[in-house]
Amino acid sequence: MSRVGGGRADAGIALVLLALAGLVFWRARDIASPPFVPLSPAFFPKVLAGVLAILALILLVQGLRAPRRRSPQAPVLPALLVFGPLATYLLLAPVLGFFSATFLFVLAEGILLGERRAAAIGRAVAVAAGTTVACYLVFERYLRVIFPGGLIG
Amino acid sequence: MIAVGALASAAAAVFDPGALLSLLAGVLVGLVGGAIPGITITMTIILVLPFTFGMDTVNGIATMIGVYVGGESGGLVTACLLGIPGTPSAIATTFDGFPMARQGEPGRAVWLGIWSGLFGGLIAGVFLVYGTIWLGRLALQFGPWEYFSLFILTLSIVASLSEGSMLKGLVAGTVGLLATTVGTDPIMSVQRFTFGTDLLKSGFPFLPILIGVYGVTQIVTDVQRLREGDARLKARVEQARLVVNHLAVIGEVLRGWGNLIRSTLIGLWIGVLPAVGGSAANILAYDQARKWSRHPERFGHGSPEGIVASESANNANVAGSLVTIMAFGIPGDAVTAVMLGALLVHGIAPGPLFMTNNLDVAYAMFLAYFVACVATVAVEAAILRVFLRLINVPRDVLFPVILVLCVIGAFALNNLWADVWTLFFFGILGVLMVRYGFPLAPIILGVILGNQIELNFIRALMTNADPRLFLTRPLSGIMLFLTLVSVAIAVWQTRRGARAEAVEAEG
Repeated sequence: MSRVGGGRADAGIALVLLALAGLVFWRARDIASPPFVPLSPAFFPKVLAGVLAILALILLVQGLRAPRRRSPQAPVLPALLVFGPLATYLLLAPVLGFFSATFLFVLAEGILLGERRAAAIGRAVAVAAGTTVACYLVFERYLRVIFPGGLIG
Repeated sequence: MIAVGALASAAAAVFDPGALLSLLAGVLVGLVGGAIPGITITMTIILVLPFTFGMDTVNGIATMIGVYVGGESGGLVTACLLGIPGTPSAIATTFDGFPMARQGEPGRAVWLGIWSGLFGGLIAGVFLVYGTIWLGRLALQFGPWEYFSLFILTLSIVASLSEGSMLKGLVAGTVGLLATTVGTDPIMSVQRFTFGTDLLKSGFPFLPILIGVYGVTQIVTDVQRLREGDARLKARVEQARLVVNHLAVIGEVLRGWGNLIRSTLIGLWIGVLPAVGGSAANILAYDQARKWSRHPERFGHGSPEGIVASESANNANVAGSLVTIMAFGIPGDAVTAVMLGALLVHGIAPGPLFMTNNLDVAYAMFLAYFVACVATVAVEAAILRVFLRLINVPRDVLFPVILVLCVIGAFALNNLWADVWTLFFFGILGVLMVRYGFPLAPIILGVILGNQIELNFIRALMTNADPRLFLTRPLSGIMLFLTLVSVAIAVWQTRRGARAEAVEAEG
């Protein structure tokens, strides 16, 4: 995957990290501290938040000092091709049932990633059916994993 | 030194037909996964893990060791036949394996690699047994101060050796540690950062994080490569004539015994050192082999010494990293982090008490390692031709199936669908991290070591409130000093690199 080095992106990330460190400090106040314990359970997260804040400040300074570079093309499409169908799969599985959702996901992903020819689509259908049956036999029947049932199963 | 009773029960468990079969299956999957460019050993281990959930401890761990050992060997097939290393551990194998194959000796190239991997692996196995016992005893003398310092040293080395900037490595490690503070704290069982939801009460489960950060991120990277028409993902292995005179090849490996032993020792040493990883072992061993060789000019043109050096080193590296995992509970790199995760899933907590508390499991791991080394050769001899076909599975067929296995792996451990969403969000985090140059290994190490670091840190301060003890106890002090040295070296290297880049840009 193309990487983005230095510059404004790093400075932006540093601000997000500083916000995260701030959030940890702020929420750490709410952590209950049992009596007679010299070190509160909030102590370690606070130390980490402090370390993160220092690192983020260095990253911020480095980012602001670094020369601006042209960012390479972001891998938006590959990420969408994976996370889009995956999110739909994860949402559908509890509703439709794990195996029907798995069939639809493997089919959709196979068509999206492969060539859109009749032969390729036929192959995607076969792979989706094979994967679903194999998952059922291996995981549900043999390894006794209980998957979400849903409407169809 | 070896407890016969425990050894016998370990042997009974490992040589049980069912266990042997699953170990063989592990080796086969490891070989195929290691051979396919774009599918790393780490990914293969992640994918096999859910299949082992239902197995008993020894069976499951033996299978995972099979995958690990097989995976290290699998990369050499594509390295020799295609000139593309199946895994980073086989990079140096391409330097001479591919030229030798192109000169009409593909069988000799592949089998030199396989046999030297076996010999290197077996020699290193002896060290695995005795090294683990010895280092385990040393680790027994560690108090919480030493443990804390050792974990911090490991994390800092991983961060400073990671690809990209050390600063980003340290940030990634700290974020990983912070992730472990969500949920119940390991000492007082107090709820932290749960935001009132039941889902976060037990914290983020580490396996879905691991699978999301490595597995899903790897798939997105590969999909991008696939769309860009990357030759590595489209290359096909043609059926080649791989029949050889095995005695002649074995003789060739053993005649260069100096090279074999030196490379094995390098592989072992790199494996034992936390954080250096298998990809460094084969390159370093190859480089040393060239320096010591009587025919350095042949390197890069099909020198058998080069193949022997690379392959014996990367198999020995497996034994070395298993020593560190078993004796200290510290993973050396991404692959070993996942292996450590696999052990934890099977209820084994590696570390100084591991040998004392689980002697039979430790022996079973040693035996499984030796069996896996031999099984790798047997499987390759039996089905090399089928194996070559498996490498050619189109990636658009493979990726959706892998994603389904990632989802099952995240779900099946606790049977919680919410864990699958952890996989999803950490997958997105992994992709963003790679995009902005943050290395992945430190965050995983942070997640795996987080609770241990906190536990030892707090224990040390509760035993004696004086924080100076971290510096004044000799071993702890040395390790913290080495932490500083590793950070200083990384800063120096980064600055030198930046200066060189600036000079190049001006020139």
